[in-house]
Amino acid sequence: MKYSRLAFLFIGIVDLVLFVFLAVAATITGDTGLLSENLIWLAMAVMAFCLSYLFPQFIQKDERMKLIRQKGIFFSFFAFLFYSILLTTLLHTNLIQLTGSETISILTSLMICTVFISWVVLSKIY
Amino acid sequence: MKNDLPEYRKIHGISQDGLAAKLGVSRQTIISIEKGRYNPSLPLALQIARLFNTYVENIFFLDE
Repeated sequence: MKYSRLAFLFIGIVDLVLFVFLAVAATITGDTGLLSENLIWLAMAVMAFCLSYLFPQFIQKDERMKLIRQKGIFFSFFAFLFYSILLTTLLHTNLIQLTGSETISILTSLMICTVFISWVVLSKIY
Repeated sequence: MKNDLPEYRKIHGISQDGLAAKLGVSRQTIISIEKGRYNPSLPLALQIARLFNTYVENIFFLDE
């Protein structure tokens, strides 16, 4: 169990380092598109860190964990609607300009972060 | 919902770990139930009551 937590922690650090490297490269080259498309690495790092915290609890498939999973997904659904409305509004009003792949990347990253962070928060509450 | 689970557990000399193992749930679940942060499902509450050879109402009751 201890090694699995460490493995998730290691994967998280690798993903974070990769994201920082790509973010620095994107900033130097001035390519903001590259930055938004690589947000997925940051989301993966967040996911790995959350899983390293949740792992000992998540391997127990009891009703508390089922409740936490269900509630996390439930809250994330509304978060997804909020993100979609926000992005649509920003794109329609031309406040930001994103390509299709950038939009999907941002939305995916936000969803990954929301689901896993909500599970961590809910596991603290319940 | 409130509960007297810690008292019943102490009377029967069962630790949180022991109770969790007997019920097939995690220790965290027992802690959450005892602190009232989480209400167990009816099957789990019945299992707990059966384990302590009593009625569910004696362990779990509404906070009025």
